[in-house]
Amino acid sequence: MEAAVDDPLGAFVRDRVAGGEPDRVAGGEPDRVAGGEPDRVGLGWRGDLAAGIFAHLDRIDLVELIADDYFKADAKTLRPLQLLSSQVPLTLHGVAMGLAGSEPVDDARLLAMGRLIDALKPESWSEHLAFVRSGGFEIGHLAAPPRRESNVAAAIANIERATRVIAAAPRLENIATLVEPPGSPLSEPAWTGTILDGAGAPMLLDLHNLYANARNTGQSPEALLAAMPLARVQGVHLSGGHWIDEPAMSGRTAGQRLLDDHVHDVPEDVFGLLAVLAARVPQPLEVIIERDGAYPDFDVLLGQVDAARAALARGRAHRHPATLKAAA
Amino acid sequence: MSALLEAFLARLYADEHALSMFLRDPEAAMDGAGLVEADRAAMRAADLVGLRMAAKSYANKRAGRGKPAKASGH
Amino acid sequence: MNPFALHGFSFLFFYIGLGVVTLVALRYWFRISEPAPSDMPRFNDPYLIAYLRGGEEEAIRVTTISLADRGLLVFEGDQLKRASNDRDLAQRDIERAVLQAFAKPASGSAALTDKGARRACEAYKKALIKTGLMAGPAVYSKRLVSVGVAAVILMGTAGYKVQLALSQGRHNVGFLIMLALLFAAILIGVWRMRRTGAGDAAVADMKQLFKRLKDRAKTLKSGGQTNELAMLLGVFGLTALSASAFPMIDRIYPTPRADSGSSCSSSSSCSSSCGGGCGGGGCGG
Repeated sequence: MEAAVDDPLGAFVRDRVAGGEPDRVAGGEPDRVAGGEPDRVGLGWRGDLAAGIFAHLDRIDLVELIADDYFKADAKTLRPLQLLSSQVPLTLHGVAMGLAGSEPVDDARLLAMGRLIDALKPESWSEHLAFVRSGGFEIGHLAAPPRRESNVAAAIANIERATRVIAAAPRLENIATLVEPPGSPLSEPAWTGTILDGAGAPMLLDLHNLYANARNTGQSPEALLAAMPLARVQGVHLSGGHWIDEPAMSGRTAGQRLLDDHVHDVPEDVFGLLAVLAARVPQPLEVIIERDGAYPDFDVLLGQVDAARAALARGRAHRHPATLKAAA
Repeated sequence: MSALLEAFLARLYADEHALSMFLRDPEAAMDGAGLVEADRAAMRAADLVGLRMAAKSYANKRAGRGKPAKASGH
Repeated sequence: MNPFALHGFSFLFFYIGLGVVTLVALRYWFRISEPAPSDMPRFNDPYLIAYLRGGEEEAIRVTTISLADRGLLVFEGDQLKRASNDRDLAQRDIERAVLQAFAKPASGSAALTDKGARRACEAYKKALIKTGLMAGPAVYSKRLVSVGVAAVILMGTAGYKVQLALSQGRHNVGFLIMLALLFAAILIGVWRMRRTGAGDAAVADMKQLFKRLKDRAKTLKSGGQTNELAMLLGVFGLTALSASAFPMIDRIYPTPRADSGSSCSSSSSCSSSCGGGCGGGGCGG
């Protein structure tokens, strides 16, 4: 017991391993063979959408919970979420671990995520390839770290540590950034692929983040998508954003950049990227539509769920020959 | 190397005053951060418009959540 | 200390305490001894939720309001009647039954006793008993043993004390007999409770999950967002809606209702169930 007090993380890991604890979530290597499992489409859980989600459980395949909201929840607060998990498959999404930072991931967050996973038994969990704090400064949100070899090693170490504690690898999500991180000799796809390969982790591909980054850096979204480690993609995020003005600075013309804000509808182009993705990969995809505010009538969100399904079907119908071969 | 640059970026994102100082006099701001020459060169070549926009976005985020910029336990 | 040596109000206070402790223990015993639900029903049906929360009449009330909000029931004077284009749009058996109940103009309360509507609730009852959220014959039988033990404790204590008092020439036992009868009535009520402990928890949990929707119930508009309206009514009942935004509810079921949201159930924590998500300032996640 003393060990548990002195080293709660160690005790937590030991308990799970000694107890023959099976994997609570389906992480690890992506399923490279389409074993007939269907693609699934769902929504991010928000209290404002509760009635719509419950009333349309027949059209919503899974729900994603923001894990950090419940890290401090007691058993009584978690019980309604257990009811939710009895109604629809859950996936947990972390937003503040900072797994891609150079600093070691916080033990308390890992413990909290592990306990939440034990309580809710989600199908998977995910986090971001981002840093959120460094040198004693809390950024308050997800920031892109310098994409370089030294950072890759630190990120892999963090992900491996998280995987050991949680007993399943997180799906790792690409983030949107308004600035190309200074000191980044590696491209985003190369950096992402190297980390995922090194950690053996699956990917949560946020197509709006990818779309925004491509548009903000003058790249083709399709080309950026093609360069990503698509074989590792298990989950997909779709959301919306809006264009914001660049600040006027001397010596340049102010333009606009696309801000990923989760309060606008998913653009058609992003559904197009989903269709391209579905055509290029054999593995089943789990698609979550994220909406954090300015909620439209629920019918609008259901329409986006249907649009995602249609995009997946379009892509699957035009599957790339190499993909068909891999699936066989 | 990466950790120092990350910490420097985190400070620019989290502290409006630090960002203003950097935009006004980058070399002086980097002197105090102990950045190696490669990192200093990276910061000289940085997209300053993007840095400002990112910092503003994070400030909005913190304001929305009421979180302090300074980490309490790190 | 021998409690039977106490006299008058001293013994009555002891007896009240004994009764309260016994009832609390009984409820606790129900909660831990009644089986956990094997397989939760799908709570995508607002009328199933209403039935679990409040029984047949509540399910019929929620159905009637939902149909009226969707224009499938219309007012004729102060009464309701089926609209002409009804049958195709009714989605569930209880909706069809309630529409049938208003084939001829009738008051809202007429449907509450309609045999067809009540028959339509049977499926809900069976599903909820099967999943262990409502008490069925097996649960009632099992409860009988523990309720019997509680009754022996409370009635036996009162009976012995009455006998003792009478043998000692004291006849001030009226209050004690009244208290014993009150506890007997409460025991019968506890035994007959519709929901199991798991059913109570499910209702409390649904209220917690839907708290955010209830908080913005004032923004719901009549004639729109139908699923949200029906689900809100299913989980919280008619009191969740503003009388000013939904005047038809008072026309159909005139009851005193608070405009503002009522408090959470006693068994729910009322803490935030929000999904924090992203919000303003850009997300990137």
